[in-house]
Amino acid sequence: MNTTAENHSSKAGVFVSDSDKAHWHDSALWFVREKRDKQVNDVPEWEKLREAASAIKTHTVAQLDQYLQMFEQKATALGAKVHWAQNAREHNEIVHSILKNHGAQRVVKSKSMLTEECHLNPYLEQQGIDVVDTDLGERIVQLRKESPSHIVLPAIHIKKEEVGDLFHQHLGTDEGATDPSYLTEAARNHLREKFLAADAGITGVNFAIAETGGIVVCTNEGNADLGVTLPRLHIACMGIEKLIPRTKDLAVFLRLLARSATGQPITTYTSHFHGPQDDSELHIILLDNGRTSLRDQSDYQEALHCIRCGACMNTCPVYRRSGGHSYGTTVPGPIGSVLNPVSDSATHNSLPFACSLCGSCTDVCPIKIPLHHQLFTLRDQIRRNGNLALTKRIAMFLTGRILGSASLFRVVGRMGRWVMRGFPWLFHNRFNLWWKQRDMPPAPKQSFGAWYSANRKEKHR
Amino acid sequence: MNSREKILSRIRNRKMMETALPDLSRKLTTWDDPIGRFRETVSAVGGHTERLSDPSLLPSVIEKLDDYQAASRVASNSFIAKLDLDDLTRSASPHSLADIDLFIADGDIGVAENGAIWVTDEKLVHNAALFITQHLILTVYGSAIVNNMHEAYEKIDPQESHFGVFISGPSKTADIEQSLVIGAHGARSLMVYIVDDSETGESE
Repeated sequence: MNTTAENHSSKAGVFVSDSDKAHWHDSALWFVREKRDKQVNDVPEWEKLREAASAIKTHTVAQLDQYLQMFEQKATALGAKVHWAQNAREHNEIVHSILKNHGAQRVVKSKSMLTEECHLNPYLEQQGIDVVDTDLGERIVQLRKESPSHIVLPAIHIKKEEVGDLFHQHLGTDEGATDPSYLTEAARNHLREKFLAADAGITGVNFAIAETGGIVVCTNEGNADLGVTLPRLHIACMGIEKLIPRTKDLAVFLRLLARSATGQPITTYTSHFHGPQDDSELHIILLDNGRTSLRDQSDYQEALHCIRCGACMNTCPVYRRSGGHSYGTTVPGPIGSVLNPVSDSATHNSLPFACSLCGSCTDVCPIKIPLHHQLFTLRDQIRRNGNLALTKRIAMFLTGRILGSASLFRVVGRMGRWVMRGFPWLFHNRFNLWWKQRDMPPAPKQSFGAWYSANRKEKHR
Repeated sequence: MNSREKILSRIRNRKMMETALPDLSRKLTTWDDPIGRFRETVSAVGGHTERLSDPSLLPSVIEKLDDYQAASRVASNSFIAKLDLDDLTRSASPHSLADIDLFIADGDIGVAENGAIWVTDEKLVHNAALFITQHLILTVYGSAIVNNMHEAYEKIDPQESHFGVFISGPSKTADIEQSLVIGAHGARSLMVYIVDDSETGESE
């Protein structure tokens, strides 16, 4: 079972075949990474905040049952209705039944990776409900019938010319217009109509406070707020890992989140909902969908601490050069390469290998999730489960033998140098993937060991 | 067993070592002049600030603004700025706010490190007004500017309001090729008046 080992690299191969676009994508994300660095360097206590955030999450996940019940009790006392869903199907059915009870036909949704994870849009559309994604980037990918390629920057893979064509077709903007301000204005006017006509607003949740029963939603555009202050029905969808114990813990996470995500000191809008607003209803859905089984696995449970800032994607050399869609998952990048194989190893076993183990993801993670350690452990697990590609198994076996024996290493080295000098085409051909877009210097006549014996060994005696 | 019980029992079946919550009362960055830092940060996130020595100056200052002059509908829920303006009707639908050009409201506190201003529904007739207006003006007392988010949450208690929001700058997006565009769905501009009160220190 190794259909997907080809999958990441073959999809990435398609992405990098447009070299200009691949370089543009790389630098667009690096720009975000640099903005992050600038903000982070402005906070002397950054490392203390990361440690505190990690400790808060570790504490909360250990006692998650108690905090979930505390949250449910407080939120219910405030007048919210709390629902529990074990999986995506149950989650979608709950959303639909709430909408049905209210006769809601038109729904505006703000960005929520959880509803992407549950494939809520196609489900609701099948039930005849009109769902409009209102985050600009998400609206762009929705109109293109795509999925987001990044959890914070959903349309990072799309050029403004493509957005111009799309908006010309769907929103009637001028043909060939590519100015981001002009296109954003068109989307603003188009989506205002949707907000004003909506029967219900669906949002994700960034943080849920156990001690108060409140939820916090962070956006820059203001779409979540318009989407839940105009209609009388707010459905908030959250994973059970979004809980934090105390209101004051928000200070730690809000200081980390936007700085890590987009290099802003805080998002434009950080909205706190405690029970329904006046004359409205608030429904909160708590979703498991594999989170409790992730919690069961001590090697990977820290991945539950993720606050979905996307910093690991912006810094990842593989993500930047291969694009989010090459991962074939809702959450791509380093964190996605942990979450997806842990929940479905057979389908996603190529992802932990889409990684150079450089460790940059771990360095930037605001919650100190040891991402590259987890990716390394996953590789070993995939090997032990027999899901490693045959070519990799053979290569690893041979490399292990050669590196394990000094005499064999010398013999193979001598043969290799001889072949590379005399018959370079044996290596440098289209069947050797390692030579794609790479070149090597001519092989030397002797190994370093031989050179050292001849030139230096005597002198150092 | 329903889904709730199933999820909870799955958690209970896997006991984890209990660890303590961290102490957040460490020494944290503060500024000698939090108001100055606040003004710098608001401008860095795309907003504007002006410092006024007295709340009674607000009406005349606001009336001189271009956004005010150009507006066909101005509404205010501000108690600090005593303006004789549309103060919105509780019974009307929030949809009736769609044509507001300029809205004025009072913030409870401002945060120096990120330029955020805390606004709650207790001081608003319709929460939607903050987001649907084309331009937004917020007031905040100089004495209510805190250094960082830790101090902010010591001063406010979000659970006392059904709705409370930190607003930092005008609405923005960079979803098209990372080009920053001000005015995504919410307010296209944010003006913040920092009003000195008896507890504010010396004005610059």
